[in-house]
Amino acid sequence: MATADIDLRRYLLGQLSGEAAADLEAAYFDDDALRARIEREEELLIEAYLLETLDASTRSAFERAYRPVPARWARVETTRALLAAAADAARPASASPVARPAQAAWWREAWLPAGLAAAAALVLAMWQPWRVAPAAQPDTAVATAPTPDASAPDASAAPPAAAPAPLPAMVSVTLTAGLTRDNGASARVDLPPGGTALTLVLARDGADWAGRSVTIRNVDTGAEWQGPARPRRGTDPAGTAAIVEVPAGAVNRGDYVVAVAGAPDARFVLRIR
Amino acid sequence: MSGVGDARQLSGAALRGLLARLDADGERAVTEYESLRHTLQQFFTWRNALDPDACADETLDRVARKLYEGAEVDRLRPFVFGVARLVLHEEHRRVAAQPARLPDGAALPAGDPAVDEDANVSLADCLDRCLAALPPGDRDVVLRYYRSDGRGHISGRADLARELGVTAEALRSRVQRLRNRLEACTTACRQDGATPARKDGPT
Repeated sequence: MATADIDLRRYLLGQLSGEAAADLEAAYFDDDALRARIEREEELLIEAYLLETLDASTRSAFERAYRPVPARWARVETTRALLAAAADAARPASASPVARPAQAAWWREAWLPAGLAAAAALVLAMWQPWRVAPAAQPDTAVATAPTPDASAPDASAAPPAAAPAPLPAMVSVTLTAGLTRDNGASARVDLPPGGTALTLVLARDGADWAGRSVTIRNVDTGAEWQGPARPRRGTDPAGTAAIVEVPAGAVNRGDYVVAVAGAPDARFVLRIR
Repeated sequence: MSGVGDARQLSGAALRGLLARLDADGERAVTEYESLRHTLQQFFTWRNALDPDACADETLDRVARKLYEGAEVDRLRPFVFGVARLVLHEEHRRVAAQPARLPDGAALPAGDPAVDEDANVSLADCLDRCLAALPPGDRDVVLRYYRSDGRGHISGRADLARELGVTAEALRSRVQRLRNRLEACTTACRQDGATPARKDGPT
């Protein structure tokens, strides 16, 4: 009897009964085509998760099934990295702000109790006013306009009139229940020589940004820059986003940790090159 | 393997016996062995084993030893499945008997975030290197396979399959094989810092 795709998905999500799962396993041990169907279903499931097209209950079931298991979560991370690499490869060479989605430290978070962190959604966005292009991140990219008071672009570096209107390069990362301070999110940005102001947009569900400060620390040298996180209420009525303006010269090439005071579960890795 | 049963190495004679049982033709036997091992890896992954590769090898070792010792096996694959279930049961028992690996996060070097960050960035870095080490044709296939339209859809796979003159399933299988190579490469890269050689020649 043909096994329905929905049962394959339920198997992957750990939602089949023990008996049904064993029956399916016995069947695919004897039938490589059936195993290939399950692999295809898993591929679709992982991509749908990363592209955020799963409904809430399936997404929740997916995270319960995949996050705690290093070998399974590694598949998610690999797919995430491949999607980012494909997006990078598709981007025209002249527009090369490199922004990567999260590379979560699955081997760490996998074993941490889910209750350690509140459900959180965290978005890190980077705006590069000197040379901008859509980041084309397939999974969680969020279009947003630069804030009105963000550092002005260098006019000399502005694209020619015929060029498409500049858009902010962005990368976003979603952290949900079960993530902890050791969950990382990495993004990359190319800074041109001479130093340029950088605007970070941070958002976190339920966050009260008032009075928060953000520390950007170079993981190699230990050098730190600290500045205020300003609630971005103008475009986010819920007040879940904040702007951090980093002046030119405050950060240079290197790997950085972006930490929010009082929110140890909100941490990012930022590579500037 | 660590933690699951006896870690004896599969003897050459037992391996030859298993291969002979899989197929009389040596080449087809190796192909069948790889297919069986892949099924085992998937089984252990989908059933949440900590180390699916080790569990798969342990299963094959046990099956080979059983055959070598003269066990009567009517149909091999169902027999392998039975052994795999036993190995999985032992693995789950072993894990359950251990204290939680990170019971309260205390084992984490919370004061040394660079460890995490290094690991985080290295997947992307290593993937870049490993992609560069693929033959250009393969690299192009992988990157086009995962190309998104930026609006939450991955499109173009059917076109890619048509362009390559293969079915969608054949394309998926090819990409999966390439993915497996990339995963092995990135794992080695992250563990050893090994940089694969770039391949720019024809596929």
